[in-house]
Amino acid sequence: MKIAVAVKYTPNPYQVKIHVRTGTLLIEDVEFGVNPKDFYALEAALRLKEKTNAEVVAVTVGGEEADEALREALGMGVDRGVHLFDKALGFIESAVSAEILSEYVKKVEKFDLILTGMESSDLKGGVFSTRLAALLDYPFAVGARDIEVEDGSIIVVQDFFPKISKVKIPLPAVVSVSDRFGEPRYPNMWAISEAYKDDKVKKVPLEDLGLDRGIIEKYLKLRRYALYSDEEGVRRRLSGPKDEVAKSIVEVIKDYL
Amino acid sequence: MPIEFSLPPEAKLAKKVAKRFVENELYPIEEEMDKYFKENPRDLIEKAAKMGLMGVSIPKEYGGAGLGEIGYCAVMEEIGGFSSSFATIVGAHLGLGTTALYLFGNEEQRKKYLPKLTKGEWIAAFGLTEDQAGSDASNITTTAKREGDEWVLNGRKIFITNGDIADIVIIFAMTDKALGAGGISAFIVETDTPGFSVGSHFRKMGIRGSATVELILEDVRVPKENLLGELNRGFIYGLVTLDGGRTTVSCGAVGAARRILNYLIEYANIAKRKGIPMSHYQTIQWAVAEIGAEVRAGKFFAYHTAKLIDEYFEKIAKRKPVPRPFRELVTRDSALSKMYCSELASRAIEKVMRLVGAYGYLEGYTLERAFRDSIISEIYEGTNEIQRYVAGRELIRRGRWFE
Repeated sequence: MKIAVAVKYTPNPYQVKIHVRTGTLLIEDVEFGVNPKDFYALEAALRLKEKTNAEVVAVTVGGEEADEALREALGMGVDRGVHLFDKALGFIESAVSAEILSEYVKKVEKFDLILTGMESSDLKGGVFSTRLAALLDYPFAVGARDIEVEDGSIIVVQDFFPKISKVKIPLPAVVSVSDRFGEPRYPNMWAISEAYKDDKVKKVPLEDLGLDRGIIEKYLKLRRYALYSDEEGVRRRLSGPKDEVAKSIVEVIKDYL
Repeated sequence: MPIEFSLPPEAKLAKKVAKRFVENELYPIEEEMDKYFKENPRDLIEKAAKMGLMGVSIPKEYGGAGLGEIGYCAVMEEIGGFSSSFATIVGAHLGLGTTALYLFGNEEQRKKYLPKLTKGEWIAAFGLTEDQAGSDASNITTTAKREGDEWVLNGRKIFITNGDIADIVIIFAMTDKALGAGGISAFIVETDTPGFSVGSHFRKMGIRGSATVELILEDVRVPKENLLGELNRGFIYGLVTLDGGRTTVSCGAVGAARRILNYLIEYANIAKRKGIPMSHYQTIQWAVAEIGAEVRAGKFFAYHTAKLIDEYFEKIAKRKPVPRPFRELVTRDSALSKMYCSELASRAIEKVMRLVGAYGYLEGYTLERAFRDSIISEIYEGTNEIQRYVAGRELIRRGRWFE
């Protein structure tokens, strides 16, 4: 069995500042690391590895610096890393990273199970795994707090707090892992000392997947960043039919821009 | 002389992980640990051991993580920066007890003890200090007498970190009184040996999360195989081991100063005086600049020494010759950097305490604890007075500064 864990290299959101006038991010001196929720996916994969002797591969999509996320995953005990790489891949949203990863899976390497965290700490979209499953046309389960392998399929205990539900899905599949899965282990010093060996991480440039930088702005063009406000009066709750709410949101955003 | 200070990537990652460990595991119990007087926090040690922190510097072949002294110092900058108590526990186990065994033990001794120690299954301690032999370590009165295939040890050791939970202690004892310091030998003593017992626990001003005890040896019989290294070389072994121990103290002190600097910056950005943020006052700006400069300088000095110790220990462990000028350089820089870094931390903390006023004086607050905890760095692993004496005397004897 081969398990991939999608990890994202994210800034500590509490340290990021936004320049009020220019709407740009100020991220010098911000600490980066593995997206905290991805640790649960790594933990889930490593527990499955202990039970089934599966091979665990950490995969990330990002620029040069994202390499560190893979090294940290290696420190936790994953077998190897795959870095889907381009210099221009800085802050990208999940539609882009899901498409890049799906191309890699289609063209280069198949996995039996792809695990992800619930959301990233920077953009907080929470839809990466859904998009990935759709692009690959794989079955999908959300919010796993337990995963069991049963010949060719998995039983996922899904966490819809306070309810839980059990679902059996065939492999290959995509599963997002809940932060109630269990405390993720720390990377250990023994594995850290091996983590930077050359052969541990495979770097795959976008061109090798038949993609180019155009993909970055295919779905979403970033205009500016702004602070969200907690103040009363600024915050509004929209209700009504979904279509109308969506339209109102678009209007609000247009006003803002 | 190394002028490149960037850490190797493994050490950087280890440091980052240690920082997370500190934030998640030490931060919540910081106050509780400060109340302990008697016992070392065993579950914390277990967690650290599982991560490989208890053997981070020792080579892989002996069960360690193989990150060397630089990796060890990087980790200790984070741990010591946050909790002098826990840094003291790790330091006494790894930096002193385990390192002494690694550096000077023969292959059988290394194979027998190191795998357990580096995995943290066993805890080590370092038994040098006595009532009348602290700075004057050559004055020890604990004795070891040869009887057949055994050594019989008698005496008392004080201020022994980890002594209460240690599985082995490196005990320094006089084997030939006539030779003075040259008649001291080191022994590996397993603490379940009959005649070995733990005496009083010492109550301390700071580092209360780490137990400091008295050890009593009454006719403790250890097999002759437990003589560490060669006979009558113990004093040198002790000094060399402490050269390394001091370096991690330097790194921890720099970490503590950095933490307090960040505390001041954060405080000054929030607190207001006369309606103006404190950060707008020149007094604060100057303090931040001064502490910042010292933290920077101290960090360079500490890691420069770590690099030297890394080379030094590798040579010793592989039984390669160490040229005398190099040995002197290591001892001098280790003494000076420990003196400088420990004092810069205390200076920084005292300055910040005064600037934030009463909050700096309240019990249970970061500053008050940091103040009490930082003093020990000026005392242990050789008092700063002794460091001044060693380095100053040598420089004067040479006739000029050595560059």
